[in-house]
Amino acid sequence: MKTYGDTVYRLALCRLQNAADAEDVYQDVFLRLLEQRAGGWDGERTKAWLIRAALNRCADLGRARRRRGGVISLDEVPDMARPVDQEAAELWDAVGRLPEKLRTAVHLFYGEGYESGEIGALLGVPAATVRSRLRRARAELKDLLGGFDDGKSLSEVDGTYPYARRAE
Amino acid sequence: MENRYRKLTERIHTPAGLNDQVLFEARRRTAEAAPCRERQGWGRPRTKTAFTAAAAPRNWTRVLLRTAVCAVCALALVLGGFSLRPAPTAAPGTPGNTGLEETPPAQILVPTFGLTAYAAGTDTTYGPAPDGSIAFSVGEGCTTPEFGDFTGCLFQVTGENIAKVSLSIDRGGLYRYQIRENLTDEQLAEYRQAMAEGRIAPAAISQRDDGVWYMPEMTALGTGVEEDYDPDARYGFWVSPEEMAPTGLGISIEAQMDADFFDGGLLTVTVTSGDGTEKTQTYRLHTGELKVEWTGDGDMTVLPELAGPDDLFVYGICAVPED
Repeated sequence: MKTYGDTVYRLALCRLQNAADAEDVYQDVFLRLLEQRAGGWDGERTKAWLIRAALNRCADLGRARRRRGGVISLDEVPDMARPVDQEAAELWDAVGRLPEKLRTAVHLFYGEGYESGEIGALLGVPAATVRSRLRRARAELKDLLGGFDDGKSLSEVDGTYPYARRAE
Repeated sequence: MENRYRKLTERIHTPAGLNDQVLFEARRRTAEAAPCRERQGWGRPRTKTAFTAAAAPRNWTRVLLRTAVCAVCALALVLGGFSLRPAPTAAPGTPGNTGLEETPPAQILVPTFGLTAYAAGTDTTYGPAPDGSIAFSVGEGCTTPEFGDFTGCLFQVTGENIAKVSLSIDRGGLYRYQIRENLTDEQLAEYRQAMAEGRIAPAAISQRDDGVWYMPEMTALGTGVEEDYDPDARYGFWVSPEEMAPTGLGISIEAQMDADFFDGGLLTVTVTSGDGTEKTQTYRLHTGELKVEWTGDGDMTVLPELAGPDDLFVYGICAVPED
């Protein structure tokens, strides 16, 4: 939890847009890890397992509960380092308004630094599908952010290439 | 280059107290799952020989009745109310009895005593063994280096006409366990903040199906407490931070070691009625591998008897009333 707790919580929060639901997912995922984990797992394998488990649990919750409405404001996020500047709040809000599948791809790509192939493995979809979702996400974010350059909407990268850390 | 989204999300951290909630729940599940993992991990390793005094865990000196009476996660000490009986009145013809008027007899309160198990998880109570012994599993509490081990072994004082309750233990300590319900968003925030700042012990904040938020609040009381009777109050066995088992041994082992801290201990319960009548009962505490059985609805029952070589068991505490 010390090493990957934030990763799981952020993913659940991004996906569900509800702090209480994110806490539920967090608890369920780590309890499953404590019950099932075998010895000898390396860090990356554990992290991937946690992400997959969190995504599955988020999907379960999404089926069980109607979304409680809207995007969670950064002001509502517990234990958020503050103050939050306006641009960050707008970015968070814009990502939160993306469709769930696009939002997940954006979070794993930009937030966790996974490549499209890795995200595809985590989500169980082809890498091409992930790339497609990222393209659609960037297009939607451009509108949501009122005409910002889509590259700058998520990362400040010189030129038009939008990706933050890794090229596909 | 700068990844603005990552920079943003890196400022979001796991809420304070959430990790402790996970560990809290893990301890509870460990205790529940123990019988399914027959003799693996939970409970002290033992020989294949049948129970004998010599083979018993230390300080276990009595063979407990093999009676199917139980407690799962909490122990309710029922001080079975006070029975009423007429006060002695003057015999006919003796001074003070004119025979001319009938006055209602004065009454005094005579407390009766008993033990009833209470399973907090299912809100179920269980009757005591014929000898009053009662048992419950360990490992369902909450442990932190700052607050010590709230063992989860709870007892509740119930009955009628009880005005005051006095509890004391000759080793370790006691704590009060209260469920705070109908928590508002503001109260939830306050409790989370208090946990984060270490002002209260970490506890799981939960939401029932009807949407009500609730959480247990645990307060260490030291070696004893005397207070006005509250029928909803529950008390439990507590190990101070200085006395608790070292961490890093594993949840089950730590819980077992903390339970052993009470092995041979003496719990004294005194109730006082409104007119000052007192009744005291002492209970000798024992720890060991207690036999469990499953009821038809899937609930686990801990029996106040040591498990045999082929029995499923959990590590638990048994309270045996002393003569």
